[in-house]
Amino acid sequence: MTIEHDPIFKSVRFLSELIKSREISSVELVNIFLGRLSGLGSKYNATVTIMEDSAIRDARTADEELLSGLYRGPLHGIPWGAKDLLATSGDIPTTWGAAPFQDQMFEYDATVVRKLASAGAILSAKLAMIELAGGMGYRQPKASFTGPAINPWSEEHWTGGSSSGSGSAVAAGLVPFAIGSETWGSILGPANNCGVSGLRPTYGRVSRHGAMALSWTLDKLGPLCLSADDCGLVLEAIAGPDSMDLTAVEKCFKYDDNDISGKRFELAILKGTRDKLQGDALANFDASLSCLSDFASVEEIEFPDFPYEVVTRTILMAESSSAFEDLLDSGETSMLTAPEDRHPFARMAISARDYIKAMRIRGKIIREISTVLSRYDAIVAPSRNTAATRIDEDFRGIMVGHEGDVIGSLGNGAGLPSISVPNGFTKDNLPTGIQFMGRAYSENSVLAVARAYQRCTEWHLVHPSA
Amino acid sequence: MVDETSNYRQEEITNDVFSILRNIYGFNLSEEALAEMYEGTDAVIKSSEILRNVKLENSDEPATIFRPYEGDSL
Repeated sequence: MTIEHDPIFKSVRFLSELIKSREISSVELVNIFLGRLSGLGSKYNATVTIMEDSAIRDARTADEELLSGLYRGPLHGIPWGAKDLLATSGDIPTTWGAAPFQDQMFEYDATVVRKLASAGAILSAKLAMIELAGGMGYRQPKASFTGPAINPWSEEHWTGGSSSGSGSAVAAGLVPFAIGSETWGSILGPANNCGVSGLRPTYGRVSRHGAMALSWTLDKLGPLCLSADDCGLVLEAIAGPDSMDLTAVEKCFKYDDNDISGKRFELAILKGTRDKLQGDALANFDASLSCLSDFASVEEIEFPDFPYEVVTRTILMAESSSAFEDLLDSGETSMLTAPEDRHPFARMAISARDYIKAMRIRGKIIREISTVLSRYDAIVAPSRNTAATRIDEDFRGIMVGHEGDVIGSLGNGAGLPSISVPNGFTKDNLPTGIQFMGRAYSENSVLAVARAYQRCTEWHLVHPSA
Repeated sequence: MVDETSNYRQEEITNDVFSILRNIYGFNLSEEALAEMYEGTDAVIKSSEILRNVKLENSDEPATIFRPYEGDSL
């Protein structure tokens, strides 16, 4: 069979049509992406383990199923990559990006891995990440035992973290989609820096069973793809209840991909958002607002007065100090790559009283912000205030605080869904992103806004040369 | 207006808490690492002050769900 269509940088939806119509087989598709993973994965420090044998075996099964009339849906036969904090069986290491865990094995698959297998998707690689998902307070791109993840748009720049490999692998066309995790910024950050679409689902929408725990009440798993539409397709496959994770909600998620032509949206923007932007990021954000005005109204609003960042940071630090109690007490943090990750002990000073106070304030935030958001389809904001930082550049770590990340701390603290999509480039040819954040369980709303935005822009169709 | 008494008190608390942390976890740490641990401790103490200044009602419960477990066999 000759391959008429180059499958690189094509959407999951497009590839699934090729598979379904048997214009390309899953084995052919997987071989092409395995070739890219092998050839470019190490160039970008994007991969930890390439799963050649099992991927080819699973692709053969997918092709046989299709021949016998069994079509599992839009992910049937599509290769994908997993952030290396998702447990995988079969003697495949799950390293959590950290030297002390580089030989760690599990005898079971994370629920997300299992669900994607049931949907027919082909796990082709475990992808690089910041050690322990950045939970020890890293301040530099090099905080991973696999080295700094290189941005496909510029070898001198970082991908963002902590889902570093997930961002670069999708951006570089090494996999059609990847799964990342976000506790605070770890999906939206790489999506912004790498110019891809990244969806942080509502807390509890996707089971975290088998995923490394950093902060039980903040951790979420979600897709990074080439388009918002693809994020919807992948979310439908991974969402849903799970007896192994009681925080996974009973509500089912059915992706609403109905035509949005002519639909008008009600959006809000937090007062002062533009004041935090400069240069190209501001110009791109303003251009996005202009584009949005074609199909949406944008109203300026203010949030209730809460210390959003302090609340989210306190919860994250307190829960992570317990999640990694053994590591911290054993002194094995000294084996971590980033020097600042080796002494994360200040968090031990957080009292039970302060953790509970943060959780009580969180309860008020959740209720009050729900009322504010009920009037809108989404809040619009920059995904990050800047494009990617340089690979050798330090930044401000979480222990002493993100600077001015009200949207991120509120969104993660209240467990709200948000999607980041590319909205332009800087003069250095680095992507920037815009995010649409909605009420809890409103993934279809934020996806619809993002799809409408991507209908009138082409930033998601621009790819780095490799 | 800066409350100097409050700042002084906060610094004292940071010093005391840091001293405890240094005794438990601080051996073998470099001066640079200890300085970063002090900065982190200071951030925790300042965050504590901010959290305690948020007024809540008695009925404002933590945003956690606890489900009593009746056992699989019941």
